[in-house]
Amino acid sequence: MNEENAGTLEKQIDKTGHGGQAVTFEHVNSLKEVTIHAQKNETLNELWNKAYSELEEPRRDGDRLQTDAGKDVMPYLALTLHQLREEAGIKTHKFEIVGPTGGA
Amino acid sequence: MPAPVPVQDVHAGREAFASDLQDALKGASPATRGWAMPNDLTLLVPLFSPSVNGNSDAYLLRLFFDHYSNGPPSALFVNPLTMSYSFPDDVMWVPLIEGHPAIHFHTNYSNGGQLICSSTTLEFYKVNHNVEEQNIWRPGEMSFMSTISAIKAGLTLPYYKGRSTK
Repeated sequence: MNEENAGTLEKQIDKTGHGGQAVTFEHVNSLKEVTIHAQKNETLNELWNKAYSELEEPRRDGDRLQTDAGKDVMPYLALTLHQLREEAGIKTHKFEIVGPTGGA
Repeated sequence: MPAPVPVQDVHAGREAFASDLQDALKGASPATRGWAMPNDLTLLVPLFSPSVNGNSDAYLLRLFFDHYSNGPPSALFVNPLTMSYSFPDDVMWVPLIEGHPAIHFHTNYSNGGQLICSSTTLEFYKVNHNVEEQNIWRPGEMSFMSTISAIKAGLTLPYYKGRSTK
């Protein structure tokens, strides 16, 4: 992490007042939304599991996670938010939980 | 195998859309999401392609709720000047995507006009498209946001290739 990014991350952590970085999950089928306060070492998958718990929604077969712009983040579930930004170039902290769909 | 075609019910559609829209917006107005409602059965949703060489393409998605939520909303990319779609004049207003496993955008599917080929659109059922059981629209368990999210997923790299030309 360079100094500029480190400073930005610290500011974001401080701003939440909850000791973590605010990450929003929208469950698009139920239209429920929750904000989780992420710790530095928490992976996206761990945050996703927390979101289900807070949303009181079961994790269904075929559920997927994407950014609010539609980018699939399933290959990156083992990454922390910092790693997601640095290694995958994904900067958003808003995610959508989507159910299985078909077509194409 | 194809799933049944949802039955039209304009009154139920209007009520279900109003209720789900309220839940989706959480007290805000449609404009806060950049959406517009020309009438109480229609939602216009601007969508943007991923940036390629610093430029994004803009598209306008028109959702119509006359079968909702027994079935998904009708979904079409429209010409923003006319708010409608006419083949072949308006093909440039339809994104060209390749290789996405769950969605495809056709400008003239089987010579019947535009088809957003996803189990989250009404037209998918109207053309009797094959669909796996787990992907069929589930009334009461899915919302129009499922439709928008599925379409946004198609508008990402590496699938997005630019505007359609034919």
